[in-house]
Amino acid sequence: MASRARRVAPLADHDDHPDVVEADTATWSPARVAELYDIGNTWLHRTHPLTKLSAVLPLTVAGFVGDGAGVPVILLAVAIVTLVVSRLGIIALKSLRLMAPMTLALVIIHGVVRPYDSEPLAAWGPISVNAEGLALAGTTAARLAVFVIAVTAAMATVHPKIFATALIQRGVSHKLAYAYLAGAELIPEMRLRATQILEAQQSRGFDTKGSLPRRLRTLFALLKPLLVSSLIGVEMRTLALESRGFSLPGRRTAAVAVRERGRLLQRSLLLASIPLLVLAIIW
Amino acid sequence: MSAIKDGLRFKTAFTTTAWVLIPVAIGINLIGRFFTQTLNLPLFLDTIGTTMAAFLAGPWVAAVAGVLTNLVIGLTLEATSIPFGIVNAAIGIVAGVMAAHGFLRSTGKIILTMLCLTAITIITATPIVVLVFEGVSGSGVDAVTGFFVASGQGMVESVIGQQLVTSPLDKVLTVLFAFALIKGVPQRYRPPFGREVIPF
Amino acid sequence: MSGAGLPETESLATSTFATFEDFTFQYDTASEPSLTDLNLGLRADQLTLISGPSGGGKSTLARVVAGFIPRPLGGSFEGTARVLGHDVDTAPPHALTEAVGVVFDNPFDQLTAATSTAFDEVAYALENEGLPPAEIVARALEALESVGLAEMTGRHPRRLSGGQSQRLAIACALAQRKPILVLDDPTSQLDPTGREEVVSLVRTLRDVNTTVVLVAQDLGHWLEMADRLVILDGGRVTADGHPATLLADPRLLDGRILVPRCVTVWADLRRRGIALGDTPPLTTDQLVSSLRNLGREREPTP
Repeated sequence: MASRARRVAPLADHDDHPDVVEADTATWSPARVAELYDIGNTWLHRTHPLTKLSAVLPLTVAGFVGDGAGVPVILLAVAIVTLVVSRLGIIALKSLRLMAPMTLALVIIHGVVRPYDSEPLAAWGPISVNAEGLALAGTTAARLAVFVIAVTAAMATVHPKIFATALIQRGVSHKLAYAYLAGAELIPEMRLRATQILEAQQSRGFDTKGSLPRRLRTLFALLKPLLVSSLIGVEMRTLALESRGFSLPGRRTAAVAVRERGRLLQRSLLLASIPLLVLAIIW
Repeated sequence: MSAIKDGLRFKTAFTTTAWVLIPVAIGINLIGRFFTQTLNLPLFLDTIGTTMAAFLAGPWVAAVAGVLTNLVIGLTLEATSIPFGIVNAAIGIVAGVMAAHGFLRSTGKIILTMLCLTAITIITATPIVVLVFEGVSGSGVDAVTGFFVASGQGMVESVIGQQLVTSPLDKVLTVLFAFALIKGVPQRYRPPFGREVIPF
Repeated sequence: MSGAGLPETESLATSTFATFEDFTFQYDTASEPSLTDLNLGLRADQLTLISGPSGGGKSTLARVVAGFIPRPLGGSFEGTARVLGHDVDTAPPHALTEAVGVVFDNPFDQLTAATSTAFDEVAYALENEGLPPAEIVARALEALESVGLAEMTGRHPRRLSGGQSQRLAIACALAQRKPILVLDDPTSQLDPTGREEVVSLVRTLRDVNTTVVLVAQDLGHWLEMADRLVILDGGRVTADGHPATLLADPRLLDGRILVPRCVTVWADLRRRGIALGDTPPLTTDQLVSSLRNLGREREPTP
């Protein structure tokens, strides 16, 4: 572990100005923070975090170009192939898995449940499937999937701390970045707690007994001590942060700064959304 | 009463305590969400933390807690939750403004707060669900929407109908849980805004 | 955990770095003052141990020294308190928090909760100070090494043991090169192993002349390294002096403060007419050796 941290010393030694310090940081910090984040060193990991995030907007807007699922499906296919070729197929898989329940709901509600005047595509007794509804469900799912895969690819290839550093370097409040990072840290922990409590309850057979409100009350009673103590801990953390310069005025630096690059590309990506939006509206 | 004014003003609301409270609120939102998801309940309970932050530190702090909750979830777990940051923030603002105006001081007013939170949820969530997600959410409440759709209702009516069914219980539980949490914290550990809006 | 690796701290110009004159303080939410008519001077060249029953005002005193009172912790006060030449009421913002490091009792609530490695945790304060990256890395690694966490730089802060976590908190203050360290009952929530780790680190800090104000309800482990013991009870100083001298007074052993067994055994023996010197032993080792001496004295010489 120590050797890892020492490895950053020569990286950070460059200069006093953090802007020019090279950070191959996607792989640097060994601890996995958020669920989505994968350690790796692909071209996507090496791309500036804000470039990846800027690409989300034009990609999402482009998904709305055209009437049907044509454009979003092509975008989706290109994204999936690119990710697989870059050995990041797991990102595509995660995105599609995330889209699965929503896609199913879209298909059922629009393709099956919703009444239509037109002839059904197929019918089994009371259940009929409508082509128009299926098309709408497919188009919506494909469009959402483009957005999901773009966000997932952008965020799964950057360490949250590096993401926050990149934002702070562009003038985002370091306090906001603190709250974001502290919140992201809580995801695995809170999920673990929820699972533990539910498993403990189920192993005692609570799930079969009692009504919903009663079960919720039991859950709340189990959680309350933890949540109250985290509220009581706010005072101590406030003082500890004050002691660590949280509200000091002035510029923040970073032990591992993010090399400033791609500003022009980021602006171009954001600007590209405008013609795409126009295209999406008129087509 | 100055603590209430400070909490209502954007410039003075964000003390260090407020910034530390925000991740706690996010954590509480997350745990409610994980429970309802795992149990597949037709509820969300993902704004308990936001509501608590609104009662303890005012509308602006709660709004930031709300937006950040959905950003944190969106950027690390499920991108689809990002648009609902607007709903979460709106709940924080309404809860905070009502708390500042004494709406936590009697049972009747608390019920009114729950109603207003239900209303703001429906007003802000419906356009997002209908325009962005074509009526679905990928969670347990879709069954309710499906029921309205099957009965021949339009998509907007179905989504509003679904929310009218699920949201009131969600908001009643949210306010009750947020209240119970704060009551568990001794006065001296509550931020000044919270001490003044819930003086017991 | 050798003292050689400890970063240097700025030397203090004056030997008394904190003075309280008729200082009375009451929290906004409290019904009575936490400190009453306090008159006290704390010296920079000493490890001052502050003890007393819970609710006696120990932590409040620590928080005044650390620059948290009267702001941001709200309350009303009378009299004056000066720390490092600043009146606590009129000190410029951050003047005290930048000079006084503080470690609390809860090993986890005092971490930022926003970092994913011990290294990032220590670096956080240095980033807030706007230090150049190279210096942040150097200082953070040095501080982690000096508290014996060199092998843990990449470990997630939440996966550290209580003792490691407390040492991490101390490392944060050391990395900031703060001349004064306030430790508010740093071992009260630790298991025996963690307690031993922190005690031995504090001993090392003392040996390299770091100014330490140590609050501890239980005096065990700390007595032998303290230069001075101050007992606060009901917000007032009820005893103040060298630990051995103070604890020779049987009135202090009435159970209101938690003293180690070696002191109570000494007092018991004394009551029964077995004198082991005028002042109590401060460690078990000292007690054992004076008992051995006693045995030798009583052996009949041939």
